[in-house]
Amino acid sequence: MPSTKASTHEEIEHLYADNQRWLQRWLYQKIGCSQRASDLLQDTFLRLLGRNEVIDALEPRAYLMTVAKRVLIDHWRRSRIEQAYLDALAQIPEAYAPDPQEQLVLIETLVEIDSMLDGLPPLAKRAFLLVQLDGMKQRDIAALLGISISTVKRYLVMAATQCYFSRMTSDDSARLA
Amino acid sequence: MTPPDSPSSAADYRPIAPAVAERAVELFLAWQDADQPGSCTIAIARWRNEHPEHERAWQQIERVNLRFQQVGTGSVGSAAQRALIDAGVPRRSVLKGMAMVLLLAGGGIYSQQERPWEAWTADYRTGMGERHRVILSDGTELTLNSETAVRVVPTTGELGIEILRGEILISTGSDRDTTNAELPGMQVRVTTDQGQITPIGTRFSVRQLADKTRVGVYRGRVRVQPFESGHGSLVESGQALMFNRHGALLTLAADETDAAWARGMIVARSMLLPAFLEELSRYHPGVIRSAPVLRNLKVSGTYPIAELNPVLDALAANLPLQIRRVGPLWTTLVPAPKSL
Repeated sequence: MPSTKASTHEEIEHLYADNQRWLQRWLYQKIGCSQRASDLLQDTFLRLLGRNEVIDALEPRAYLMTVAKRVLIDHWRRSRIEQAYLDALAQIPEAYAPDPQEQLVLIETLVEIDSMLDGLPPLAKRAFLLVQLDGMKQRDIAALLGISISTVKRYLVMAATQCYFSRMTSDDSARLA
Repeated sequence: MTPPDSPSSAADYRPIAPAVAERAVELFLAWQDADQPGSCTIAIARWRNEHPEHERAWQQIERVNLRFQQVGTGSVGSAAQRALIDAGVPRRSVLKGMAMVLLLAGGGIYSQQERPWEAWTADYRTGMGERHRVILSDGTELTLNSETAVRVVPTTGELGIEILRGEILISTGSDRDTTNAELPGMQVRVTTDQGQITPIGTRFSVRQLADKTRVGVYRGRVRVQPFESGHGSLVESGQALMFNRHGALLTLAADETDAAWARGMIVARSMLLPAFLEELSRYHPGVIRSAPVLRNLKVSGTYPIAELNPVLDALAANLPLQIRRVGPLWTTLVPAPKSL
């Protein structure tokens, strides 16, 4: 698709001109802050630009709504993680706290990890994090969480398969390919 | 064809066959759980060598693991871990989460001894418009341009720098003030998707493009070894080389102003407007483009990377064009109306 980049950009620009008002209103109803709604509106269109694909113009509203919903979910995920991280950080001595730039990068990373583990059973997620972030052995995790080693194994396989490989088959990455 | 606006997408996202993914996960989890990982390491190496798809599956695991390494250990790491766990549970179970922290914190100390490679493996990333400078353990200075990710792997006597995406500028130890050279010089080796670059006392930049690498040398010289070529090339100071996995593509002139981004600048010398806008786009989200009729206009001067509007204003003041914007994301340069 060599010459489509510029025309796709133009197409999305038209989508923006035609749809930004109602979409901004819709986002505002969801989060009740007009500044933030307008940021999320830009994020929605940035995401479309990043995909650089021809948009099915038959149902542009439905299409935009789907993308905006994903942006909104990611936004909520981010604020949830950020809050949890800052709460946790408040409990360690200030001298050990990372500088603001490092914190931003770290929060980005946490958001990414969280989205990779999305939808897993809570115990599967926890078991997997205990191995990857903390180097715990399966038998210790079994003892900590009060479940059998074979359950731990089953959870780890489930979490690892999703975390490492599910994105390669999801529709987002299929588009990239 | 690779999308032209994502020069960073070095990764291969074709789906991995479920059976291969399953085996990779099995090997990986067994290796992590082993008290004596030695025998697992051999089995893994053998399996990776069996088929290119096996290797690709393994690299996918390693790529994702970079994220976990970035979370780190110690008290900061455990705060981060708690954030991940707490963020997933409803408010009222947060108390239960707190008991968890103590256990995690204890585990953190434990794991540092048990998994020493975590301490060796650093990882740096920048987002769009960001720039980051780090001094590595041997004194090598590494600067990351916008949207860049690198992995740094020091081994005995050698400093491996892997570019996952983006562009870096390196000044090796021997290039800087030698009166302060108490740090033993390590051989720096930069790896991209296409090959390896080893400097001989130097200052140089490496950029990972969609399917090729650009190396610019500003002082000293570097050796470039494409992965699938029998012989490498030497790139001298003042030269830039583009190469792919099979060999050199073309040699261009290079000078220090190519790396002006490291000081937050773009230096243009009679640069064609579309090329200038493309360079500018690396640092700002959205679409910046020009009407086709403006494509032969030339841009000269030094422009700041951090802010877009002053740059656009300067262009409009010096060239026969005006700026048209649709929302914050679309900027189009169109011909200025003819003045009297």
